[in-house]
Amino acid sequence: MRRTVPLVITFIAGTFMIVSFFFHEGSIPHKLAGRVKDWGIIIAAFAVVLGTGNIIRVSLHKARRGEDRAYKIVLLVCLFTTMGLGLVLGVDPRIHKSWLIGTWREGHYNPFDWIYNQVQLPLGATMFSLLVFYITSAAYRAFRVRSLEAGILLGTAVLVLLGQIPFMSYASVGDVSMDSIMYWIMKVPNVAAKRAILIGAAMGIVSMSLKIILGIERSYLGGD
Amino acid sequence: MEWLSRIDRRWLYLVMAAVIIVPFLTQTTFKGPPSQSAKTIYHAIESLPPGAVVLVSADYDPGSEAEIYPMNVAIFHHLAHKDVRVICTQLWPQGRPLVEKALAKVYYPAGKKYGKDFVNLGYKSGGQLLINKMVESIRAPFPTDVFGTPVDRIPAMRGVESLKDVALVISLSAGTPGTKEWVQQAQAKLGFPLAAGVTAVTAPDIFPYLNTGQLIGILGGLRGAADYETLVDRPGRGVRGMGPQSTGHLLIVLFIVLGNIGYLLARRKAKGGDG
Repeated sequence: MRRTVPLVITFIAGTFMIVSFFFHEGSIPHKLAGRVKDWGIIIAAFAVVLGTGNIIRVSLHKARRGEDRAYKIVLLVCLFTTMGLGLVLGVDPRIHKSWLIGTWREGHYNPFDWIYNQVQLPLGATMFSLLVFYITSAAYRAFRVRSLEAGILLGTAVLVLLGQIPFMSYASVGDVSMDSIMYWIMKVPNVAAKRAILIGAAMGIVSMSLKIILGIERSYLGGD
Repeated sequence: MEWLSRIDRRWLYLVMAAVIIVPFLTQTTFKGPPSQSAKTIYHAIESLPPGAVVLVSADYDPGSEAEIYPMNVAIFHHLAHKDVRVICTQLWPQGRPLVEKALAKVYYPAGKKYGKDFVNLGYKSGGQLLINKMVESIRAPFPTDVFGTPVDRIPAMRGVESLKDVALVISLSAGTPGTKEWVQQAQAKLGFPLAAGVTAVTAPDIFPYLNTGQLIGILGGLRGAADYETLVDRPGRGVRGMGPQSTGHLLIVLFIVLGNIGYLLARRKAKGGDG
């Protein structure tokens, strides 16, 4: 029963969502499918709670075992501080409204917003900015003309890089501008590869969905 | 000369840092003509009739703020200049303060009123399921705005029941859920004009949708932001960022060339040794 009931629910729900796609707007199956989507949005909201609970559980477990203890403690302190301030003091709607109606002044934050603006914003930007150093090092080491294919890859990468520089728009190879070359690379060879990946991934999703609906793939039920 | 292929990475980091910081401090910048894609988005907004509704989905976070926030501000400048209503939503929880900051920077100085000319419906979970739901109804998942005001009492929402009532959707996206999901879950069903502003690393992923006409244009990375700032004649962080970004790109190309000179010399020497 523990396995059969979820399998039957999955089969009915999955088949129903596929069938509803072929009904016109306003029909009963279409309306019922809309209700199922509402459930999905609500369940997704609860997933935030589940995810937070899971990260607390995993971090506590690792901290107790002494695995990356300092990092886990920092993570938990930051998590509880931000969550606590958010839950107790909330996101002050007056402050947000003061932004939108133009009465906001610098320094006019509640603690939760202060953490976002003064900690999270610069930290997020810093983490993303660090990529430039890794990319520089990786490009220097990896882009070597070891073969014809590697040479083509290198040439393409250099052209796309140069295409991002504004004044290169005025440069040209013969009658063809650098902008046109970069645009052609993005629109033709890039799209050909991306489309192949997209179609392959879509086929994989269709196949996996059918296996789940028909009960062939059961790993989502847990256990063996 | 083989040492050219074995430069210590710390030197690479140091030179790169200098090449980015110097133009940043001296405010050196480079200007170029806006891309065709940016021009297409510009003309799509220019051709909107008075009172048209534009939905801006700000799906980014602090990590991508450097690239997307400047294009968000530039697009708001253009929209505020036109007599159109703007509805903002966020698929990413951390997008709300960023879009509110952009609205505050542009809409208040332009003399626009919250609730009448623009509204922020805020963040809602659900990702692509939420987009799918908005095809049928925007009011069901967003019964109130960010201040708890029922959407029925917001003038900017008058006559807007679903995405069918929206003249243009602008997806400012840093990943998933984002532009790809807007195409797959909504644009493919309703066929509305969809413009995208994305990070430079995301741009190649959504080019297939530009080829099919499902996207009217793409603003890619900081260059996209600079292009749009140029078009609306509001040079900001995008244009200012072209200096450090351009010198950084040129340095990467230089390092690639140096690395290959060292590699080829070493290979020739090795072959000579074998012979």
